[in-house]
Amino acid sequence: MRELTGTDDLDWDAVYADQAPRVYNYFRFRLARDSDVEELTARTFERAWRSRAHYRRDLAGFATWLFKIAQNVRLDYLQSRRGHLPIDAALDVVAEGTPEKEAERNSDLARLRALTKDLPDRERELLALKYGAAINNRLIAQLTGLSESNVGTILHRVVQTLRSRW
Amino acid sequence: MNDDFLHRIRVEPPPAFMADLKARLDRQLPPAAAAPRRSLFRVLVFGLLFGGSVFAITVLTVNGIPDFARNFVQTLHQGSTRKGDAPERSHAATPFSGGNRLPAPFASRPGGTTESGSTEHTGEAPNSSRGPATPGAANNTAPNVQSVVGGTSTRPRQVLNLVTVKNLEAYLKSRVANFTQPYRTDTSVTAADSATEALAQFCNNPATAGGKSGPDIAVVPRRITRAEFGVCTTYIGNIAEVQMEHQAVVLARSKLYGTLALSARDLFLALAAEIPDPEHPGALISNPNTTWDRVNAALGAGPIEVFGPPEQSITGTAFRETLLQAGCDAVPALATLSQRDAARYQHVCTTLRKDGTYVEIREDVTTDTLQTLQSHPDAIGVLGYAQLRLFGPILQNNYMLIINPVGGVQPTPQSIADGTYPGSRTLYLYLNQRRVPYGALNLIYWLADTNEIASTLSSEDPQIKGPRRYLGPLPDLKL
Repeated sequence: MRELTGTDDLDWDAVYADQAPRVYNYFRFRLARDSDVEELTARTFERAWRSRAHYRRDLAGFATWLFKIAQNVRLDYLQSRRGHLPIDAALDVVAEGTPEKEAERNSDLARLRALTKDLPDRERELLALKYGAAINNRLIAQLTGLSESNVGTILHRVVQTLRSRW
Repeated sequence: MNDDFLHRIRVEPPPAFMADLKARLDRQLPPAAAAPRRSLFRVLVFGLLFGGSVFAITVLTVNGIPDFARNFVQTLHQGSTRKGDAPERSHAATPFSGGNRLPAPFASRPGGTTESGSTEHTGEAPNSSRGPATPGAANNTAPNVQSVVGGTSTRPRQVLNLVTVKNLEAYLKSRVANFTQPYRTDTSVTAADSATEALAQFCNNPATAGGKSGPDIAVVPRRITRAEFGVCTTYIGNIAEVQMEHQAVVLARSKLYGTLALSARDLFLALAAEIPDPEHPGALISNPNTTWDRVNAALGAGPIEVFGPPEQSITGTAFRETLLQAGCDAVPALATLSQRDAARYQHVCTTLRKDGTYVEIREDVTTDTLQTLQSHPDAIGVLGYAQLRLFGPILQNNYMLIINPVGGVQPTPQSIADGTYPGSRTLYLYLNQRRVPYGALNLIYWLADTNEIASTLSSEDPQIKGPRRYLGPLPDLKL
């Protein structure tokens, strides 16, 4: 991942191209409906773009800042929904590639959701950040308040469990 | 670690979505790289203005005001006098008729087309000079250019003035924050010390206020009284009432020790910073209670330990104003204080003790509270009703928690809506029907009908959301 450390010298087009798929996949891992994924991705970037002048590089890397916004957007969304999201519903991800590959991916996502639905929220968040947003353990540690080694340990344990049941 | 099966789940976002979002972001703000050019531009403009001013002052000083300029100013003055002093909002101040018919803005959700194209243009105009040269920005500049040439004044941004009570100020500001942006409407939220004062401001007599009208909207945590309604109708005419939402604060505890048969009074005596001295009921002492049996012998000798949101947070404030206040009202020894010193009474009733008995936990991470309650099975947790609904079965099955009734009443949609649950309250919104500024109805719609902004206290339950919108003259509502 690019090291993003400030706002004045950033190529915003590049930032968008790099971060948007990460945020999109983060929400994909955490939510169920594709329409919500797009909506929340858009909300995250709109909020970030609106307040990017307030971003302080001395407090956090840009990706950390952006994903903090994404986490807050998700919380707002959940609280506004006032209920559980349909875990196994609406896997209507827009096709990208062949229908077979898309179906396979959706099937994997559905399987992942089924396997993780009883996991604590913290573990699901770690999975979304690691494999949805594809960010490293150091950033995940900053975002979750866990230590980097703790993130690695928890992820290792969760992945092993998932793998054995996959 | 073989985790390919997880990496494979990632997909690229749809290109159409990516392009659309990027276009929206580009329209939102100019690229950061454009900043230096803007600075140079500003310096040039400033230099020209300064130089021009110096030149004009010099010419005027030497030659006096030229005749054509004097005539032009006189013409403008006569023109404005003929038009009268129509208020800036007059284009939008179309009072909707009473009854239950919903005005036009209620027919569509916010985000649809509005009748204020020109207002939106005006709102965009200041940005358009800073923004990139997009087609939208170009369109936005057109009305301004035309208005200057045509000699008509540009319309200012719409400002809705909303008054509420201090403790709801932060909540309402968070609710209206997202409303302001899409409608190019500024909403000013001011806070009064109490609902009585907020309604007094809303219903103020323009004659005694130097001709200044009161706020457009009032949001208060209680219903208007008959006397206040009389004042309102006298001074500002008919008002409309909207039952904005019901809110509730709930208590949770570990299943391990089961529920406590708590009343609001027990909670007050356990958590208030000051309580009446049992030996001298007229005097107040710092709360000495450390176990529940000191509060109520029927509760057992378990330690008093409560985890809840920060005192000044939205949920924390609601907790203090509902459960703690209700408990305070139930203590007879404090009744005389309420008559003697209302401000002191209010302070005593709504101030939590700071000795560690009430432990503050971040409000935005509900799981922190739930995990803490798991590890402190004899403690009580304070949650917003929305958090209870959000976590639902997880709260019971994963975290092994149960909801603690208060005064024997469980927080259900019914008990919250009818007010029998002591930890509930209803927010009422009042609108001056004679003067309905543009945007007010959409704002009400936004506040009362959407869940775009999270409320930690409310919920989508039909009993709570359903029957709360009444738009009509108050006499119909049987005060």
